[in-house]
This record gives sequence, structure tokens and C-alpha cells, in this order.
Amino acid sequence: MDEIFNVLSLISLLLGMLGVTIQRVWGECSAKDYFFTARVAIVASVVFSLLFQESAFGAPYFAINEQTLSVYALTSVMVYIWLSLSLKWFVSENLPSCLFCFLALVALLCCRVLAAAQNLMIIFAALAVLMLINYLFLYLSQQTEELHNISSRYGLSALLFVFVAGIALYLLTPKGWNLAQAADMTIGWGLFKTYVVVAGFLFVFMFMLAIAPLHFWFADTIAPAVLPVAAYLSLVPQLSLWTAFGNVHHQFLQPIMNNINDLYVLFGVLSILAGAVGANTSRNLRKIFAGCGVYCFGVILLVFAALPDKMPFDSHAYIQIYLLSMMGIYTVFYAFKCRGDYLYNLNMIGGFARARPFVAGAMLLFMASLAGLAPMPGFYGIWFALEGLANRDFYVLMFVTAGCLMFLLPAYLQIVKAVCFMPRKDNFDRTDNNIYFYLTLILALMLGLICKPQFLQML
Amino acid sequence: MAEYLLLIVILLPFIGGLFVAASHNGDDGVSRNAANVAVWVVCCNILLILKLFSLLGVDQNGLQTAYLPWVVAPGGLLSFCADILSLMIVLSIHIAVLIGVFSLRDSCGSQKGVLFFSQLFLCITSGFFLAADLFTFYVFFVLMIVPLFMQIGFCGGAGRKTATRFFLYNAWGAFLLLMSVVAIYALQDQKATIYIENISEIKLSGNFAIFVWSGVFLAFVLRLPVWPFHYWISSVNTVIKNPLVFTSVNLMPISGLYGFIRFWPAVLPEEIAALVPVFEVLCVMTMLYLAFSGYSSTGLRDKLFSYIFIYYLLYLLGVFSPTDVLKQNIAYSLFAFLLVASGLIMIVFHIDKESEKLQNSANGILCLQPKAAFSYAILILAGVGFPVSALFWNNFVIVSEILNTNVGIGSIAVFTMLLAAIFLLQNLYDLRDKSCMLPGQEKIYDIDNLRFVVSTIVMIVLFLSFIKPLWFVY
Amino acid sequence: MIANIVICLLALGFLSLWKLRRRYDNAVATVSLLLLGALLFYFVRNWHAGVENTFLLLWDSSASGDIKISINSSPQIYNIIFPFFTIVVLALFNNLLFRFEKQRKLFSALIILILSSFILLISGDNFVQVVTFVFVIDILSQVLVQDIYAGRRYGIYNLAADMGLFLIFALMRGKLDSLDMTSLVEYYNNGKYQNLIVIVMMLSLFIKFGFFIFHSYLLDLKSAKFHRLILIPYMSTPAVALILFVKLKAYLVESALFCGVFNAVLVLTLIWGAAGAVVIKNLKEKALYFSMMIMALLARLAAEKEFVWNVSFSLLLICGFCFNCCLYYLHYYTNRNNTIVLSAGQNGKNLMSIYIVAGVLACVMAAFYSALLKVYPMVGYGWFWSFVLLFMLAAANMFTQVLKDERNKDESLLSCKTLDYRPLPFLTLMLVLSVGVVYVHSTEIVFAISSVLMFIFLLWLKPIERLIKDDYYNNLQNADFFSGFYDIIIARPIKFIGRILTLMVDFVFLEKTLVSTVMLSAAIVVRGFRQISREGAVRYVLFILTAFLVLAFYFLRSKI
Repeated sequence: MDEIFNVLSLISLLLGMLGVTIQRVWGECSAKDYFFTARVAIVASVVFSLLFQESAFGAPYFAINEQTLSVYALTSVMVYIWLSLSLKWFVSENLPSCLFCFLALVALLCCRVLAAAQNLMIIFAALAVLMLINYLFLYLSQQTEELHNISSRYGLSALLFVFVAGIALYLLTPKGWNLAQAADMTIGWGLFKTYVVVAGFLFVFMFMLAIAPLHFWFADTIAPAVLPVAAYLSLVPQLSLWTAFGNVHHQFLQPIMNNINDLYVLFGVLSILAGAVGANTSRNLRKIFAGCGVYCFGVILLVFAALPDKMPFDSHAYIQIYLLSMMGIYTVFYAFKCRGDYLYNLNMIGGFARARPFVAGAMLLFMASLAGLAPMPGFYGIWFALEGLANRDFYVLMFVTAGCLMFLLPAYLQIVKAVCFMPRKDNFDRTDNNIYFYLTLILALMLGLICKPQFLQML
Repeated sequence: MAEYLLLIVILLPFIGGLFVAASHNGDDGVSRNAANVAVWVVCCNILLILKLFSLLGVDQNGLQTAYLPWVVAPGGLLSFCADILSLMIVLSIHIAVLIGVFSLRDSCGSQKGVLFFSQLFLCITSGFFLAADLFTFYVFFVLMIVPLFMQIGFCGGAGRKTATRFFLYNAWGAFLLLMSVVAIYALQDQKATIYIENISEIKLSGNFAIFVWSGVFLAFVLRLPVWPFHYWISSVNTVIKNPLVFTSVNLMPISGLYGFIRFWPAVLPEEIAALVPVFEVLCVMTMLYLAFSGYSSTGLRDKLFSYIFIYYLLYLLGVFSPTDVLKQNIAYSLFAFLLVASGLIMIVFHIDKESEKLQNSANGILCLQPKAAFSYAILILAGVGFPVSALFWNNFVIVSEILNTNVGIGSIAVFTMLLAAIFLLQNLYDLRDKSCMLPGQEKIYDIDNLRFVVSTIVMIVLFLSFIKPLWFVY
Repeated sequence: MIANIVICLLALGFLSLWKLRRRYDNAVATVSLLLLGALLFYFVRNWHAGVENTFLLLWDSSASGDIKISINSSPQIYNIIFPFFTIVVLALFNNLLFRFEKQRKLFSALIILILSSFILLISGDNFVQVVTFVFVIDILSQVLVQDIYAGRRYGIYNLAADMGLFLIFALMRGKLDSLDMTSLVEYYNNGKYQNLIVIVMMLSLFIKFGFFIFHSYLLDLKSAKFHRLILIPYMSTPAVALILFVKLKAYLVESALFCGVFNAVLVLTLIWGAAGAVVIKNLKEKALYFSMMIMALLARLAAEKEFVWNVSFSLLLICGFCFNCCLYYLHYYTNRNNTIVLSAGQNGKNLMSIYIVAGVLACVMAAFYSALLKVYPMVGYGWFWSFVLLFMLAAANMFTQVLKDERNKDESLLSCKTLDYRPLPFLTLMLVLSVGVVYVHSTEIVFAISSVLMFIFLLWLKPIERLIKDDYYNNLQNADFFSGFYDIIIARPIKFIGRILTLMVDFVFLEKTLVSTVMLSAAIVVRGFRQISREGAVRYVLFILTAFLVLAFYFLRSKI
């Protein structure tokens, strides 16, 4: 009986997928129905996982603990909000949404698997599926030739890294797929073989996490993609990916490669620079925030380098806060709408604050959080990160991290300038109550975090 | 009670700001309602500050520290306390902003936004000046630039571009302070609150000390108009057309000054302290530069800007003198100075606005504005150091200490004060010179009764501060 | 007690400022005069009674000691205050007789407040009190001048002088750690920067005195009203300078630098004053030049080591003011035209009035010379005779110009003022001065009478008119060599430097060099990054290769 309870959450997701498929095959369903089914499945899954999930379940392939549960719960909440917001897009564009909902549920399933997986093969599989989902999202939503080209390039790059990771898996042999034993398997290996294995797993994660120099696809895909897909790529898989990367790093990569922290430092600094400069190169809002994302991922990687012994709370808190802020930002993006079109360029949103002061104000707060401005939650993200670096005497890294944040600021400022200071150019469409609701929710959450940052530790 | 009052003083403007944001706009598009809310909030806070003064007592060193729990802060608390210096500055900033709000009445543009951020600015500055520990100090130091950035941006026109520069420039200062603060906390074995008054107990050594204290030093310097760092504020001042924003921006350098007051001279290592003479020279050179440029400029606001920053630098030189006895004099003088400066800003913006109706220059305009002329003349007399306000005697002490430390620097400082006084007086004469007025000019309006009453109250407060700086403490 | 008088004066001054109906104006002015007369009487009585006490009011505390407002009632202080008190009473009397003010009571209030400030300045024995009341008198003087053109340079010069005093007092306070002025000499002997202090002090005093080179601001007063102008040298800045000089003399005379420069400047001032008084036809300017000469003389007297401010010295001051009053009467009876040559000498009644003024002037001069004779041993014969000769020549020349000029027979001058119903001021002046001279200098009465005769002789002789051609006179009227002094030496260079600095520092260096370089660098970085981030498969390959190369680098390094 316990076994059944334990898998109830997975079953809910699978039932959700099945429900969506049935609706597609046998019913004359609208977008609202698909989304409703998907959201019910997500809620049920989260509730069941929080109520019945036991830590012993799925061992040794999975390790369920408070952290994985919180990662799953947070990811589910994000997927829920994302789906709710995307519904309006599908309704207004009058496009089929069945596959979209299906893929969303699969992605959530993969995220769940990734967060808890203790087996490299399972991690590899989940990553591959997530890559496929990314590709499918891009491929299915392609509206321009540009997006077609980008999706093809993304697919090919993803294939390459899947291939490299596959080689690494092959070298490890099934015996070594268990994370706890993987490191022991490499004892006595030659340097080259070790590096190939490291390259396989490190690069596949770096690619998915958009860490420089493998960040190239991130801004490329987000900018031209339709808004729900862009939101998905920016928000949904990140937390689980980082959790999985943390596991792989601590149990496998870090023990087998002595100078991996130096490598992280290099890639981290590269990401920080690429993110900060990249955010300033475009007037496309999504590209700007993609740059911010790359910067944040770089910071987290640096914290990994600074805290090699355990999955640091600092980086965990940082990614959570980043995602919360980014969730707010993307919610605002859903409100940037004029005559039915979603606006994505700075030139288009001039004077938005005069039309929608609440939404614009919320956006300012989210950006303040991303910029690490006290007392916004983003501040303690960056504070913890810098403190972590300073505690280990990485003063130069600390300097670079905070210094690059300064380079990131002009990008935020030009958004503020456009939204708040420019004269109103156009009549913006009425903002949905849905958006107001979720904005208020996120703001309340942020306020809660400002007053009680301990909440982060609970998460 | 004092602790709670301290927190209320900090938080009330923020709550007021929310009311301002929620207030209903008038039909004429002018946010009278918002302005009235702002005025009432600031007035209430001023009363609370006065109450704090009475709780503090003139002879005590500081209030009992008030805490605001915040887990992120090392030690888990944001801590605040007050002494005469900090309360005087907070009070004067409140009064300055209040005068700014009164000056805003007939300005156009996005007033509600400006008023909201002015309230936020008051909240943040109060937090900054009442901060008891290093972390709280840093948090409010950084935050201060946000409302100012928004206010400058709301001014429109060139203000948008300038606002970005302003923010970036000040963010670099905040970045340097962040580096130093993180480094200091990293040295602590356990997360504990580092009180500013105990900061001298932190023992740093060698290059690390230079790294940390240079960061602190530069962070404060960047807030002050010391050459070549003065450009950010001069470029901002030339584009601002809103008196409240102009007032707020010109209050900003006090944060740097206050930082030096709190950190100087006890804690800086010898390596940095050795650079003080160089920095003093830089200060007086900037004062000279400002005096010359104020003298040569024709714009009213340019002159006012030069005057204001010459005095800030004078206080800075006072802070650098190796004595602690000046703190109180600086507080009293700064109080009077801020009142004078904000009063002058109010009148100057009115004159500027009315002079746009004139075909030529603004010369002679005060002949048509008797109330403005009277207020302007008295405020200038107070501003240039005539014995009608606390500026006079306290500046005398400050100058005497600077002279005591270095006669050359002190003499140049007095010379620049003289030049500032001369160009302000000349300006006053020009504005009152009837011969410059052309016949048949458009109707020129005097300041309204409300603003005249405000300036009269300012004059009375100034005069009372001349007789007894803490006349309001019972 | 002087403190009581000060309090009464302040009360009287502020009460006179009270806004009342116009019809009460004369009454208030009269009451003010009567009360002031009574106070003067009380003052003189106390002075002679030899009452000595000190009034102290604690103003504030500082690390260098308490700041007190002190009013000492000592014979010396009485002596110094006396002439100013008398001058104010005479000025109030004039104010009551001549309708030159729209609101007499306001003018009365103003000069009463100035007198109060003078008393507090004279009584002051600490730096703060002295510098405070110097500033206060300057503010009130600015109100007294009233005219914008006249007040402009007056205000600026005074401010410069005041800031000089501010600087040296602040320096001394810092070095001595005391506010007490009695430690001045001690500071000169033991302190630092003596020369700096002497130079700044000297400059401040010269400016305030309106001595040669710095006198042009005084000449600007010609555009002020005449009745206010005559009061300024004796109840405003130059008088303040005299008091300050007396207070600071102990320090200054120790310096050889000061003595040399001071004597030279005094001589030049005397000569320049005399030349101006002779050449310039504008009566107001003449009055100012005469005042310059008198101030130079008074300063010369005060500079002597054995100088004691006594009644004779006070009488010199009072006579100086009376002399100015005479010039005002002259102005009043010459159709109130400033240019002396426009006076209508042919109008019989008017001529009569001018003769009476000349008579009064003769009395004033007699009093002046007799007082001077009393004190001249201090300055020596050279100074004494130079002054007497120059002053008499200038005064006689002025009357020659008034009485003998027949070129201007303009019809409009027929309506000249006559000596109608106001002999009172003249008679009063004569009476006061005669009594004063006889009472104080009974032994010098012969010299006084002879000086009057000499004046009449010179009047008849017209030596200057014979020497200088009229065309030359006219050419010199507007040739004030020092009026542009401030503008050319100070204002323009500062403006020029300011503009250059603004241009070079703000625009060229910061905006166009520093900021532009930063912006350009940022733009280059961004453009470079944009190039790297261009879409295309090649970029993907490059980035992937980079990642592998980095790993390869680490691999090779580990191997080594």
C-alpha cells in the first residue's frame, strides 16, 4: 500500500499526460480544458509528493529528501503559474495547446527525476528528454524561419552533448552509473579517460544550464521564441538542473578531478562576463534577461568553486531567488501587450508605467532583486555568494562578481528608463486579472522573503 | 519608547509614500492631494524627531539602540541609534524635503512619482543616518540612490540620460563599500553585529587593511563633489527642472560626508591617513574650481550649486581636521546650511520660472517680486555666513580648526567662501537692479503667500538657531 | 550703565520699526529723538560719575571657552562711544527737520540699531562678539545705503574685509585656543604666521577705511541719497574700521611691515582725498573725498603708541560729521543738484543761505582745527600742517566754485530753495560746536578763530582756480582711475579663469575625454560582443570548441 502512496505523485503526472492525450484524441476540447487537466495533475502531484513521499522510496536510484521535495514543489508551482499565464496566449493566438501541456507535464516529470536521481544513467536520460522537450518546444512553436534555423542548431548541439555524455556513460560501465560508486570506479584510470568522463557530464550540464562558453543557445532561442516557450526555457528546468548538477558535482566530478574548481572559476567568470556584457548588447527584453540569467549561473558556479565540500546553501538560495524574480519578470512580460501582440523590445514599451503603474512597479522590484539591491531577496543571494567567496579568501573573484554586476546595471537601467521615464507611445491592452493575481502572489512571496529570509532555508 | 520612536521615524515616510502613491490626482493633473499627504507625513515625522531630541537629551551621547530583526544581517538584526549629529541631519533633511514639496506646487510633470520617491528617500536617508552597525549603514547607503535615480528620471528630457549616469556612478561607490563590508564581515569568526562606534576595534593588517579602507574611503569620496568626481552631480544639477528633485540630489553628498564623520579619523590605517594632505589639497582645489565656475556662470542654479558644494567641501575639510570636537559644530552648521540651501532653491526655482517670461536676462526681476526679494536677500545673508544663523559661529569654529591644522588650506577655503558669498551677493544685486528691467514685460508673479510663510518660518528657525542651536529641545 | 542704554536703544529701535499709521510718523521720530537725547544725557552723567561695571551674557559654549556678550562700562569705552552717540542724535535731529525720508521713524530706527551695534562692537573683548557686530553693522549699513548701484561694490568690498577679519580671528582662535582679544600681543610674540595675519588685517582695515586704492566703493555711494551718504563714513564701515584699528593696534604696531605700508597709504589717501575734493564737482563725491582725508588723519592719530581716545579725538569725529552735514545743507540749498557748478549764485536769497552755510562750516572747521591742535603733537608738524593746508584749500575751493560760478544762468534755477524756516540746524550746530570748543579747548580758541580767517582768506584768494584751467576740471570729472580696480584686477580674471576651467575641466577633460573614453570603451566591448554573438552555426562551433579547448588545456597542464 505504501508503495502505491509513494508513486501517487508520479501517477498523477502520468494521468495528467494521459488525460491530455485522451482529450486530444476523443474530445472537442479547448485550450482551457487542456490547461485545466494539466494544472490539476500538477496540483495533485505536488500534494501527493508532499504528503506521502518517503525518503526510502526508489533507493538506490533516487534519494528523496527535503531538498528534492522542495525543489519539486517549487518547480511545480512555477510550472503551474507558467501554464496559467500561457493559457491566455494560446487563447488569443488560437493555437492548439494539447502538445504544449503534454510536454509541460513531461518536463515536470523529468525535473522531478533529475532532482532526486542518484544514477548517472537516469540523470542522462532525464537530461536527454529535457533537451528533446526544449527542441520540440522550439520546433513546434516555430513561426519564423529564424526560429527554424535556431531550433535546428539547438538540436544538433544538444545531440553532440548527448553523444559526449553517452561516451562518458559507456566508459563508466553500468557498475559505475550509481553516483555513490561512480567516483570509485575511476580509481586507477588514466588522465585522458577521466577527462573524457568529466567532459561528458560537465558539458552536458553546462550546455543545459547555459554556462559560458556553452551559453550560446540560451539568448538565441529565448529571443525569437514565443512567450510561453521563452518563459519555459528561462524558468522551469533550472532549479532541478542545478540540484542534479550539485549532486553530480559533489559525488562524482569533484572527487575525480583535482583542479575542477579552477575550471569552474574560469567558466564562472566567463559566464559572468558574457552575461553582463551580453545583457547590454540588445534592446530585446528577453535577451537582456537571458544575459542576467547567464550572469547568475556564473555566480552560482563560482560559489560551487568556493564551497567544494557540499551543495552550498548560498547557491541554492541564490538560484531560488533568481527564479522567483525571473518568474515575476516573465509574468510582467505577459502584461506587455498592445493590440493583441506581446511586446518584447524596449522601444515598444515606452511609458508603460504611466499606463500600468502597478505592473511597472512590480517589474522594478523584480529587477531590483535581480540587481542585488537591499533589502530585496536578490540582495542576500548576492550577499551570501560574496560572503562565501570572501570566507575562502577568493577576494579577486568576489571583486569580479560584484564588478560585473555593475556592468549588468546599465541593462536594467535602460529598461527602467523605457518603462518609467519615456513618454507613453501606445495604448497598452488591458492587463488580465490573472497577471495581477500572480504578480501580487510573487510580490507577497518576496515580501515574505524580505521579512523572513529563513523561509529560504525551509525551502 | 525611544527605540520604537526611532523605528517609526524611519518607517513613517515609507508608509506615507504608499499613501502618496495611492492618493487621488486632482482634475487639473496636478497632484495637490499627493503633495498634501506628503506634507502631513513629513510634518508628523518632524514632530517625532523633535520628540526624539527631547528623549535624547542634549548631553547624552546616544539613544538606546533600536533593532529590526533581519536574518540576512550579520547578527540577525538591523540596528539603529541616534545622537545629536545624526538627529540634526535627519531633521534638516526632513525640513529641506518639506520645503522642496512646497516649492513643487506650481511645477508640472510627474509629481506623484516624484513625491512618492521623495518619501522613500526620506525613509532611506533616515535609516542611513540612524544606522548603528556597519551592515545597516551599507544597506541604506546603497538604497539611497534608487529614489534619486527615479526622481531624476521623472524630470524628463535630458534627465533620463543623466539619471542613468547618476545611478551607475553612485553604484560604483556602493560596490566599493560592499567589497569592504563583505571583507570585514568575512574576517569575523562568527556572524556578529559590528557597531560603527566600535569599528576602530577591527584589526586589519597590511595590504588587506589598505584594500578595505581604500574601498570605504573611495565609496564616501564618490558621493562628494571632489574633483574629478564632482562631474556626476554637476551634470545632474544642470538638467533638473524640479525643485524637490534638485533639493534631494543636493542632499545626497551628505551621505559621503556623514560616512567620513563616522569613520574618520580613528579607524583608518596609517597608509591611508598619509594621503590625507593630498586629499585636502584636492578638496580645496575643487572648492576653488567651484568658486571660479560659480563666479563666472550666469545661471542662477549653477551659482547655487557651486555655493552648496563649496560648503560641503568645507565641512569635509572640517571632518579631516584631527579633532572630534567639531562634530557638533558641523551638525549645527549643516542644519542651518541645509535650511538656507533648500530655502534658496525654492526661491531660485520660482525666479527661474518667472524669468522665462522676460525677453532678456532675469536681472531686475526681484523689483517686481517684493516677497521673493525679501526672502532671497535674507537667505543669502544667512547663507554667506552673516550672523543671522547657526552657520556663522559654527563655521567660525570649523574654519579655525582647519586653519589650526593647515593655514594654507584654511586660507584658500576662506577665500572660496568669500568668492561664493560675492557671486551670490552680486547675483542678488543683479536681480534687484531696476535699471535692467525692460518696459512692457509680461506679468511677473511674486511667490505665493504659502511659500512666503514657509520662507519666513525658515528665517525664524535660522535666527533661533543662531541664538541657540538646540532651541527646540526641552 | 551702558548695558541699560543698549537695552533701551534696542527696545527703541525695534519699537520704531513697528508698523503705524503714516500720521504718527513725525510723532514717533520726535519721541525717538527726545528719548535718545535723554539717553545721551544719562550716558554723559554716568560717564562723569565714573560708574564702572561689566554686563555679561552667556551666548554659547565652545571648546575654546564660553562666548559671552560683554558690555564694559569703563571710561575708555564711554569715550569711544560718545562721538557716535552724539552723531546719531544729530542725525536724528536732521531727520526730524528735513523731510528726506518717506518714513522718518524707520530711518530713526535704523540708525538707533546701528548705534546699538556700535556700542556692542566697542564693548566687545572677544573675537566672536567683535566679528559678529562688524557683520551686523555691515548688514545695517547695507540697508542704510539703500541704493542698489551704490550698495553693490560697497557690500562686496565690505564682505571681503569682513571675511579677512573672520580669517584672522579664526586663525588666532585656533592657535591660541582662546577667544579673548587681550591675548593678541602675546600671539604676535609667540604665535605663527604673523606676517600673514598682519597683511590680511591690514587689507581688511584699509578696505573698511576706504583708503587709497580701495576707496572706489565709497565713491559709488554718490548714487545714494545725500542724507544717508553723510552718515556712512561716521556711522558705518570707516568708523567700524577706526574702532577695529584701535582694538587691533596692539598687534599691528608691533609689525614693521605694517608701519611702513600704513604710513604710505595714509599719505596717498590724504593726497588723493584732497585732489578729489578739489577737482570733483559732484558734491556727494566731494563729501566722500573730504571724509577720506579726515579718516586718514584719524587713523594716523590712532596709530600712535601713546594714543588715547579722548574728547578731542571724539570732537574730530563729530566735526567730520558736521562738515558732511554742511555739505548736505549746501546741496539742499543749491536746488538739490549734485553738481556744484549748477548752483545759482545770482539768486539773492539763495546766496544768503549759502553764506550762512559757509559760516557754519567755518565754525565747524574752527572746532575741528582746535581739536586737532590739541592732539597734533602725536602726529607731528608735518602731518598736521599738510592736512590743515590741504583741507582748507579744498574747502575754500569748494565755496569758490559755489559762489563765483556765473556760467549757469538757467531759468530753471530761479526756483531755488531759499533759507526759509530752517535756521535751527545751523544755529544748533554753531551752538554745539562753539560750546564744545570753548569747553574742551578754551586755550586753542585763538587758533580756531585764526583758522576761520585763513579759510576766508583762501576763499578770497582762489588759489586753485587760478592754477587749474576749467577744461582740465571737466576732463577729470569722470576719470576715476580706481573705479575699474575691482573689475579689472579681480572680477574679470576670476570670470575668465572660471570659464576656462569650466570649459577645460568639465567639458574638455571630463565630458569629452574621460566620460567619452569610458563610453567608447563600453561601446567597443558591446560591439565586439555583438559580433561574437551574431547568429550562425559557426559561432556555435566556435563556442563548443572553446569549451573543449579549455578542458584540453587543463588536461595538458595536469599532465605536465
